[in-house]
Amino acid sequence: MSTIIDRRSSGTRSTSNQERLQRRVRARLKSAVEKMARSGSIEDLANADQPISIPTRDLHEPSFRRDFSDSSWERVLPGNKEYQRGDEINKPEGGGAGQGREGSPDGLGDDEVAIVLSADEFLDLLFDGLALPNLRKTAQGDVQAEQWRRAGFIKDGSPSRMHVGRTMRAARARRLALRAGKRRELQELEEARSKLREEISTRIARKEDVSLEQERLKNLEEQISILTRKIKAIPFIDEADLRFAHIDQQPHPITNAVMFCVMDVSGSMGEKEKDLAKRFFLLLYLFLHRHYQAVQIVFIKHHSTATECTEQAFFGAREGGGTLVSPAIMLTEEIMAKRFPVDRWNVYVAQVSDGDNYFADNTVVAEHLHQLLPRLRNLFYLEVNRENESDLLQLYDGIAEDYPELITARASAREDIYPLFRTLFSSEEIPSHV
Amino acid sequence: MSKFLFTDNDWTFPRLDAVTEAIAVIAAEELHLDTYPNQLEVISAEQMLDAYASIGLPVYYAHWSFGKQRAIESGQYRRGEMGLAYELVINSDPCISYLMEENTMTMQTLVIAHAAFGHNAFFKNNAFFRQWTDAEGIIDYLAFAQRYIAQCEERFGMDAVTDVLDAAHAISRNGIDRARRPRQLSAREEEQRWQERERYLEQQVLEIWRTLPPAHTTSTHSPDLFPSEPQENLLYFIEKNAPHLEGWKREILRIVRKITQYLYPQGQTKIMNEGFACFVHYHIMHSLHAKGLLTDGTLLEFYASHTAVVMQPDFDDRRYSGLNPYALGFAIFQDIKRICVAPTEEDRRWFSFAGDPDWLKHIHFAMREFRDESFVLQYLSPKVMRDLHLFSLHNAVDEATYRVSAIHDDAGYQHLREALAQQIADSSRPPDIQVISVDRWGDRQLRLKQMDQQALDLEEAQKTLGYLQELWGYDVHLDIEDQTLTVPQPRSGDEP
Repeated sequence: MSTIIDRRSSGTRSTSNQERLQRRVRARLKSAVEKMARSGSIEDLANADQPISIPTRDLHEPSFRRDFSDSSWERVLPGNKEYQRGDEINKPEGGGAGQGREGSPDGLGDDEVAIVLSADEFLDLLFDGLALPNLRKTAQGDVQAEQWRRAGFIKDGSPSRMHVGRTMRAARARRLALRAGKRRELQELEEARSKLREEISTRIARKEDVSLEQERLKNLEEQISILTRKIKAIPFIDEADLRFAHIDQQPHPITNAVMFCVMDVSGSMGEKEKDLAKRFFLLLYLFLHRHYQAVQIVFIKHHSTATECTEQAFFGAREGGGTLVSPAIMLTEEIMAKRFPVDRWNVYVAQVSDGDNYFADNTVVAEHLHQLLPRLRNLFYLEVNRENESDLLQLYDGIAEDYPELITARASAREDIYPLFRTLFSSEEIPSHV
Repeated sequence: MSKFLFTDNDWTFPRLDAVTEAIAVIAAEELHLDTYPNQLEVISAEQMLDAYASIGLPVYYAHWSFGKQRAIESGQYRRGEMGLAYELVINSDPCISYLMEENTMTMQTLVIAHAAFGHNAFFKNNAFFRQWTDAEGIIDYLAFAQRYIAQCEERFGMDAVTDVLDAAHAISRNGIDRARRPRQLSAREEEQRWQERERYLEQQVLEIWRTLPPAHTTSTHSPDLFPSEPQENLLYFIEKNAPHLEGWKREILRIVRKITQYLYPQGQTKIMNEGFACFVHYHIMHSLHAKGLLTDGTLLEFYASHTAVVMQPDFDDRRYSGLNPYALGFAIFQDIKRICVAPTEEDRRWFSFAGDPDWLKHIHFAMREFRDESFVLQYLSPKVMRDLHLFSLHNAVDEATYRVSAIHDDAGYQHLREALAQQIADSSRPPDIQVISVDRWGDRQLRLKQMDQQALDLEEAQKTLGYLQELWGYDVHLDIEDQTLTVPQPRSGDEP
């Protein structure tokens, strides 16, 4: 007797073990995650499943076991070809009995375990301590698009939206309800009439007087005709039966977001500044990624002119020349107008700069910001590696007083970025700068 | 009309049914196999990896080490270093066999013959399994264990439970009563019992310390020893006697002990179990073909897989990783049949049953009454040793070379046999470490002693002692020949 069961659909059950494993090596995972955050490409980090290798000694399970390295033993082996009893064989160099395995393509040796983190687990580690649900809440609200949606049936509406099926159903129900009682009454009356007629005919046959019965018959027939008229008077369709399909305008959140990364690549931005910028952009991207279905990134680098470029060019570029901020702002406006209309996109701008700007340009920047800001969810401005506040930062801070969408901050070391991000997103009131 | 069960190689549920039925007929009529009812479950590769991680058990409590196991195995699998077993089978009633969905129909046929009939019959009939495991109760018990440990995690926190499990796992190999027959498991009774036990034990935590010396004894040092004789089952001893262990922790120790006990026979009968299953599938596949139920193509595919499974790489081969239990077991079982059917002069000298035409009787006897160690000692024939070109190597610590102590010749057969049996015994048995005394009148320290002579990995032993000490609550010492191991220092310095 045997039973065959298809278990394939019941899925895997490894999650609880997986969870416990990650819990155990959390510290190591966390440092690995942060290391990756420094080196990986922004989009890869948030999207791919991340394998992280953990040395097995962290996960060692001791037990009482024998030590074969330092004792006598005898072993039986297969495949003898030439040995005779009493032959002596040289011990391998180094005395180790075990053979090491060569490294595998992905660099994992015997002494390492690869733990694959899902994107969410990765982010949880990266944002360890940051309450992510809270992060979600304090996002600056989404663009709401209006959309017509069906919204049930109503009794009033334009004839073109009349719902025939519903209307006929209501009419039939009403007819049935109104007729039923009268029909029953009518039936009773008709029965009484036929009985009366029989009685009349028998009485006539017996030559008896029928005037009284005739009177009652006339009375009955009158009632019947009234009832018949009433039944007929019930309309096939009544105004009360009419039903109209209703549609309603409902707000519908837009789930696409675009993030403009704007960075100063003039000579004054060195490797360190770029590293700070990258961390900042990454965190912001990851955060947006959690909040929206799809996030696109546009990289804009600028010195005295601004160009759109790839991520590699963005972080790799080092160009000379003076610095003008306004071309970058203008390019952002231009790209937004062309590709990311604000009624369909949640637009975020993240700008990193060391604050250098040609003095006369500041007024131009201010002018464009006033136009741009109302169309943005947020503009984050991060000033890196500068001892005192630049003119540009002061300008931004001034504007931020009127536009809460503009958020500014300063950072001078890598370690500043996490706490900075934490303050930006976890507190209700947004600090003007840190 | 062709009688073939299948001609193309895709498996379907009706085909699995038909094949199982055909195999059942052969198993019963030709091999006289007595099996548990079968439950065949089709699973995916991912699920197979899950099953690997939990030693093949369908239900298991959660622990990080299983996650680690899975991470290692799925990594190897993805890199192509490791193929997954085609099947996995559980010693339960009904007997659950997993079939991988990737298998071809030929493979499924092979797997059903191998697992659902070969292993199944072995589980049901081998004396060791009969004595140590309760196939009927195991699934229920595992479910109970899973539930209980999940409850503990809820009540006492995941970390506390993990600590206990870590410690229990560390000494689990020393959690077996080799000399005694274990009690049968019943999930319901267990559940009732633990509740009573927990209540009782919590009131009685200090029970063994409470035995005050009688008034007339002048010395506070009682001459009677506790325990009265050495105890080999460390898990059991701790569970019953640890002075301050909470009830739920004792219960977890008990669960680990019970499951270890259930798994114990599998480690003791690897060669036999696989050998017998291979013997069964080999016979069944041929018989199906002879009956005209399998095509020649199917038989060829079967040969390809079969030879891959029972292949024994030579010791100097890159692929060599020890003796292949499938190869050795299959060779011995096949040889038992050959010795019966076509004995040589040599066989008659070595085996009293040589030439007895009822080979099936001897196969059954071998399958029922032995475990690996005794099986090899009893049945490893000169022919098998010659076929495998076995030789033994002796290593003495203070010599510069290994010495070949025996090869497959007349002078060496007996020695090879014994050496192999010893090797199997050593590898399937943990170091013999027993509780010899508890200082009940002093500092409550627990003293263990290694009873065998084999060298112990000291670093490992020390870490394991650390776990033991955590459970015991007081100092734990281990005497090894000329030295005493202790736990270096309390793991956290912040304890008062």
